[in-house]
Amino acid sequence: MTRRHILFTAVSGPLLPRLGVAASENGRQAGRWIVVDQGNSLARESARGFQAALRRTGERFEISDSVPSCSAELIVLPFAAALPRQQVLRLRTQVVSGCSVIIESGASFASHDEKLRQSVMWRHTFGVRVDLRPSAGTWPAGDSPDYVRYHWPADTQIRHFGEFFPVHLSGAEEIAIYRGRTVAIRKQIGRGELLFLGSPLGPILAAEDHQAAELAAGMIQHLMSVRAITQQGVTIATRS
Amino acid sequence: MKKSIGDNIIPKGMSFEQGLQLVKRAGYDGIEMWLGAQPWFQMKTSDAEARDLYRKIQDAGLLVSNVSNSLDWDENICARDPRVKQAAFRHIERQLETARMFETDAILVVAGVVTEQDPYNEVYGRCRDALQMLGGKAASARVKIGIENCNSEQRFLLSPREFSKFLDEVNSPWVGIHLDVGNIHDDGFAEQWIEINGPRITRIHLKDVLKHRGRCGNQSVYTNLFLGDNDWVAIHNALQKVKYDGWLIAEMESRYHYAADQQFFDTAAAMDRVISGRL
Repeated sequence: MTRRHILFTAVSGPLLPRLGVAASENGRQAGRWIVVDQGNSLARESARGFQAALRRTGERFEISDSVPSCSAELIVLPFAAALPRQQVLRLRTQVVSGCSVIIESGASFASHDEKLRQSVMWRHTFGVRVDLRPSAGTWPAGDSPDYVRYHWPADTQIRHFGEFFPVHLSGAEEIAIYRGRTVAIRKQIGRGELLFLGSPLGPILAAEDHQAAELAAGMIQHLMSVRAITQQGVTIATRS
Repeated sequence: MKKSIGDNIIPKGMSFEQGLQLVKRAGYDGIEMWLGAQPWFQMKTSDAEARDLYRKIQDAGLLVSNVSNSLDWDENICARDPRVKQAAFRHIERQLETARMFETDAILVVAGVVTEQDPYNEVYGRCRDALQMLGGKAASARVKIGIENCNSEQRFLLSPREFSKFLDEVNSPWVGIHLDVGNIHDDGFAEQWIEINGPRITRIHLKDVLKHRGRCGNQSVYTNLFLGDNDWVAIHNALQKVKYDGWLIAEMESRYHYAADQQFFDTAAAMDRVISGRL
């Protein structure tokens, strides 16, 4: 049985959600390739959240374990860890040539070295400067629950998750704040658009939060309408 | 958000009209009408009498926030006895009718009471089926049924997620949750109930709770706002998050021993602080 055959069977069968193919896929050709997600537990949890968000749009998407080399219209990097140089360059090429990218910082709970690697990578690749100072730290234990406040694409509050990392604007547009600091931005890079989320959204999506679902739908809708994604589908890149 | 308080807390010896004046003077926007709790609003109250009650409410410059009932504990939709179940249907239907007369769009129902004799799964199925049926009647009346979370007393639908899944099964936009933030005790966090059930919240009861004391005979664990263990900052923030802009209804079980009218004023002032977030 070929991979294509497996996928074809899956789109009309019970395996469909596991493969991450949109529910409205019936009758349409599924993704070209699917690689088993070997991401760490948080990346996997977050990827599940974004998959659920994408599934709700009815749009076709594939799951990959790396940034694809073929041309994509939208790439989501849930809980993104530091990427190998080759993939970083690929990601940059994708954005410059018109791809929309959602990067969710994977710095929460990461080691200091890993945080530094990520910070350098995002600064060099996209000019995104993330504040890793300890003062940016965590939500103090015993404090009342607090929320990240998005004001794009809609006024929405999302539960704060793990550490948050303020992002410097430097030419970008602020889309969310937490405790008075910018934690998410959108930025035009070449012909593409980058959404950088310094406070995780995917795990909140995976927890079926209503407001997070609305927010993600708005983001995806915006990126789709801008890029008019109809042919290429969406790729969720997950990192091991 | 608007403030309301139940007519069941109007002190003994006060008439309905005097109670309404007190509610208005204390700064509330509306009143919660409890079917079965006070002599003026019973199952035998006729339509004409109900309309007269509403005229008095309007004359006092108040709205009706919702129609609740104190009858579900004896006549519940989960009852095995068909006659008891039928009685429950009758009083809920009467709530729907009077809600329309009072020009409000929500009622409160306590659905399901698990006991040694009535096991959980049985109660669950019967409640779901009953609410699917009542959902149709609510849709016709265009009045939402808010199922209250009386966690400790009902021993039913004990977590916010289970409540949400239960409502999924009922599957009616006319059946939601009447959330009582004081009823969660030490089994969870009111703010998480708000977050998880946000869009389905029909109304909110406010009271505070002494979480770790448990019930001691007839001694109540419920107390006045800010005297218990609820995290009111978290509750305020969660209400903002889910964009709840409906009624907040004070439900004070523990009454002042003296100057009963003072509780109305104190509670209204505390509710203003919850609404504004000055906590």
